[in-house]
Amino acid sequence: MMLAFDETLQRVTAQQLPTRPPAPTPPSRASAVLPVRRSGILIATFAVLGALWLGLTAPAVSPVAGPTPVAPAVVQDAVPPAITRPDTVVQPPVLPAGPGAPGRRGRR
Amino acid sequence: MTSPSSSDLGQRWPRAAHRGLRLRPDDVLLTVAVGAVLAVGWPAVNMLHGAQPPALMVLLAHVTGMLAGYGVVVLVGLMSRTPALERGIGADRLSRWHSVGGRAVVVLVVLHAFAATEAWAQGRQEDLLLAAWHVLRLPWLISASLGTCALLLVAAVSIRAARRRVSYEAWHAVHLLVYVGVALGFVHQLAGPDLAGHRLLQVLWALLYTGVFGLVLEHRVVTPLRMAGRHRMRVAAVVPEGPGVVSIIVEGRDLQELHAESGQFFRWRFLTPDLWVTAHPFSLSAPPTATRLRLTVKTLGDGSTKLQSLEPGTWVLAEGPYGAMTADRRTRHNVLLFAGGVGITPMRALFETLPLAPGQDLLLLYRARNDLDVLFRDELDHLAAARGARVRYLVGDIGPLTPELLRQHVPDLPDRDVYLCASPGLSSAVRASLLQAGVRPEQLHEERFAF
Repeated sequence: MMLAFDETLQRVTAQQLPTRPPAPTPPSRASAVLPVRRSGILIATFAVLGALWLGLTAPAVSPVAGPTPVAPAVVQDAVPPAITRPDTVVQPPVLPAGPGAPGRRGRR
Repeated sequence: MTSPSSSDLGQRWPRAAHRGLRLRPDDVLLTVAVGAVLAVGWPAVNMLHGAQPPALMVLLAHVTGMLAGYGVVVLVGLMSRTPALERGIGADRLSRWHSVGGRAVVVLVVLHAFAATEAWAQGRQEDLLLAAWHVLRLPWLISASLGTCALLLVAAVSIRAARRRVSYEAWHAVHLLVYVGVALGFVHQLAGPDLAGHRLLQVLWALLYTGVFGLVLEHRVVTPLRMAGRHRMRVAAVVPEGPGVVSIIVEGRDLQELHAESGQFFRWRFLTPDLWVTAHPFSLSAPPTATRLRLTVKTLGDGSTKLQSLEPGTWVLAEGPYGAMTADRRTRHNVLLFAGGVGITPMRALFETLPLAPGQDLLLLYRARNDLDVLFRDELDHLAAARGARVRYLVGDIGPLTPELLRQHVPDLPDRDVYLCASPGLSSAVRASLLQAGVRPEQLHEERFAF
């Protein structure tokens, strides 16, 4: 294993006691840095557009309306009785069936 | 080696200039806490100002739902590999935060589901089972429930007892379900009663999610691919170091642009049919050069076993560098490096490059079960001689590492920085002894190699 890092070890030995790690080397080419920024900007743009799309197309009224407790009495009072109470529903008149009934044609 | 004079004790080592943005742990925690207060405060204030005072279950359902939705996105953000977080906080601590936060979010999600169902049951005068059936039939509730199941599955395999029986690869694969779970629950959040009808809030909430997923995409997908194209890393050699331990030499070009430092690690993905799916975190075991990186791997699971037989020429994708256990964390003149077992890998690299001026002392304590387990002995002895540093091998049965024992080896322990890397059990024991011996938490820099 020493062989693989002889170069590093020799450097340490030659310099005796390095007091600082080597200074960061700037990227050799601008293109090494630019793609990161470009991809970052692209992703950030998509994130903002995506958020706008998701937020603006989201339901304005929540379909999850369950948890609010509603007392049964309130329901009865709030809804027209003619619809909810079977005994108050106005039924159409029941016409007698058979010969002579209105609307029925037959021999007299 | 010269003993430090009393005037040196307590004197601080100037920190190296920071490279890139680093977020401080306290600032990040404060920001997360402020977000949590807003996430809880909005539904609470909204409901308390309503026409009728809300029932307890309704309030609980709203608050836990909002907090769980916020918590999930924070958890994903912590694991997004964003450099400012990794440099400032460290992967190790981020992972611990993620673990604690994960438990909290799972509890919140379960509480939210229960409270919402119970509130429905109370409001509609139904029994809980019928209420659950009705709630499930609401729009987007099926997908949200499937998402919850995915999160619960991830939580189940992350429980310590289960994790011991699951390979790293399986655990990693199951963890990817988090993204599916989060996506499945997202529309339910956006259409929830706390956000629906508030356009600005809906857009901001969506921005929170798309922003964090943008960070994940940038730092976990795009950056590794870009690095692969730029540096073209390949395995140059696999060198046996000891029983079940190999060093892998990775060659590439312009590696200085990675700005890797001793003490840091990469997540390595070796592109073979068996190994490409999972990225494994391994520390650099030698200072990085412009053309070579070295990692050292011990057989611990399926993946690390297969790494032993890697062929030279195998392509490598590397994410990183990560980890904050670097030289610029140093605050004192004298330093103690403590390594346990294969935890020697980052310490070996630090032992070579930690700045050491005349009059300063660098001591490496290396704990190993037996002589065969001692790695890099020749390199460490050579470096110690070359740098005027010291290395001591604590091999075999030496009893517990008590504060007294540590003080015997290092009399000026409270006035040193301590870099610690060992297995979780040994780390915990040594950390406790170090703190008892007078080392302050800010002087202790550690990396725990557990998943």
